[in-house]
Amino acid sequence: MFVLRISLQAIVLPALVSGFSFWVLYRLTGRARQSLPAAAALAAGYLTGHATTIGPPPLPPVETTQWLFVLVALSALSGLGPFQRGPWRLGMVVTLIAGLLGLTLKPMFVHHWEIGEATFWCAGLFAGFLVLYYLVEWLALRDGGTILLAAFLLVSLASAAVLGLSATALLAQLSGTTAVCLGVLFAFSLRYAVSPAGWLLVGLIILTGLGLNGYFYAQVTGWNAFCLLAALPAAWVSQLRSIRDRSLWLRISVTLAAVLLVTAPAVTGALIGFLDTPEYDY
Amino acid sequence: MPKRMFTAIVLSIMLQSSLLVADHTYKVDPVHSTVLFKAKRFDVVNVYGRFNGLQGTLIIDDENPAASSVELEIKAEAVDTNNERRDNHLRSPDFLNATQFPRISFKSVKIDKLEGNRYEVSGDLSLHGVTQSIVVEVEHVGSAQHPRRGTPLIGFETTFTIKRSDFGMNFMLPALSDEIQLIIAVHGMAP
Repeated sequence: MFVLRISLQAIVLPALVSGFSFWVLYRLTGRARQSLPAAAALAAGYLTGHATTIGPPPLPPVETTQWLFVLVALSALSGLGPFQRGPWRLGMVVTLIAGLLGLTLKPMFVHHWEIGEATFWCAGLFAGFLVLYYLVEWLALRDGGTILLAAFLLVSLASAAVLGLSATALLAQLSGTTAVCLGVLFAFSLRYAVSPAGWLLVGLIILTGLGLNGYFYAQVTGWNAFCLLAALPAAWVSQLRSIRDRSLWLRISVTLAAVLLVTAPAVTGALIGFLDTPEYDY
Repeated sequence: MPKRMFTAIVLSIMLQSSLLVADHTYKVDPVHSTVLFKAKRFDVVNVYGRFNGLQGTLIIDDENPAASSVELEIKAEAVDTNNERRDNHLRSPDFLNATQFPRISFKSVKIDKLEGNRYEVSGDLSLHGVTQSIVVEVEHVGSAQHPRRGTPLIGFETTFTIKRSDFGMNFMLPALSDEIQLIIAVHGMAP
């Protein structure tokens, strides 16, 4: 019964909400505004999974995962016209990354870090996430989004496995929910135009947010967190001259293999760590 | 000579006054104090755990209980259920989120004397970033002098139940019970 309820809350319901949101918005907005349906669908699916699994956040939020809920909702705005390119886009990206770092790392500032350590982490992560964003956006512009959706889907699945093996079933469920919603978008992208300008920022905020929470507040090691986020740029393999003009499925397969190669050490490392500790069943 | 005598009398009065105050103020002894908790798993079994290293201060005024106060604090990471992986899970964002909310504390607001050796203590319990008012009945277990140091000792105990969902801990409900029973034994030592 418990497993059935969790499956409904974290998988079935978010998938339905995600698919329904995409389909309705796609019909309503038409091709001219195709970024919004994907952004809204991913955000709506994630928020549904979050709300049904651990409840909607209080106002103001208390925990960093509750702030992530708010940030994901805000990131869906990136699918709206003005935020798709130019200075508005840049402003949106910078604001969301800065907001994510500030709100997620606030407990570290308050309870654990000196000013020097805080500056080091914030500056390093801000630069790293900005580079990561532009690496995947650049790829998305060349690729159209389907291959990148497959890469995001695999990374979120690997992330769910790593988090689940690192003492946090809750974050693992949220990552699993994200994977399901990305899977729905991937399926749609095979038939409809799913612009990455919409879902990309939403997906990146979710994955980096869960990664930060896993590393700083659960038991995810730095190496495992790095492997998971570094796997996204591995999708660049689809741009290699030898395969970039091949069929879509071949490019997807090669991309997934490259992503798997980078995420495998993280999943293996987390599994070894899990098996090393005494027997415990959630 | 009279001047020295006067000084001695003043010093003696001051010392006695300070001893009187010291009699009423106790530091919590973490070694002989205990925080136990109990949760029901899958409606099948009660699982027990504890928090190590309770700290705090008790100010006890028997004549005027309203002037008494209690402040207790434990580290959330000090959770101990005799299983390392389960302890790490309890420290994680699924439950206590110990890195984000490192301290669990209680601060009394009002203390009333009940029948016999019992007190009603109202106060604020801060857990998992949420502060809730609670009222608990506390038993004064005993008072004595430390056999070696001669300083006053005092002991209290209370058992009460909280709902973890009231403190924003909703994960694994209802597989792991919402009601968490706490048994707290506090041993105070006058400095």
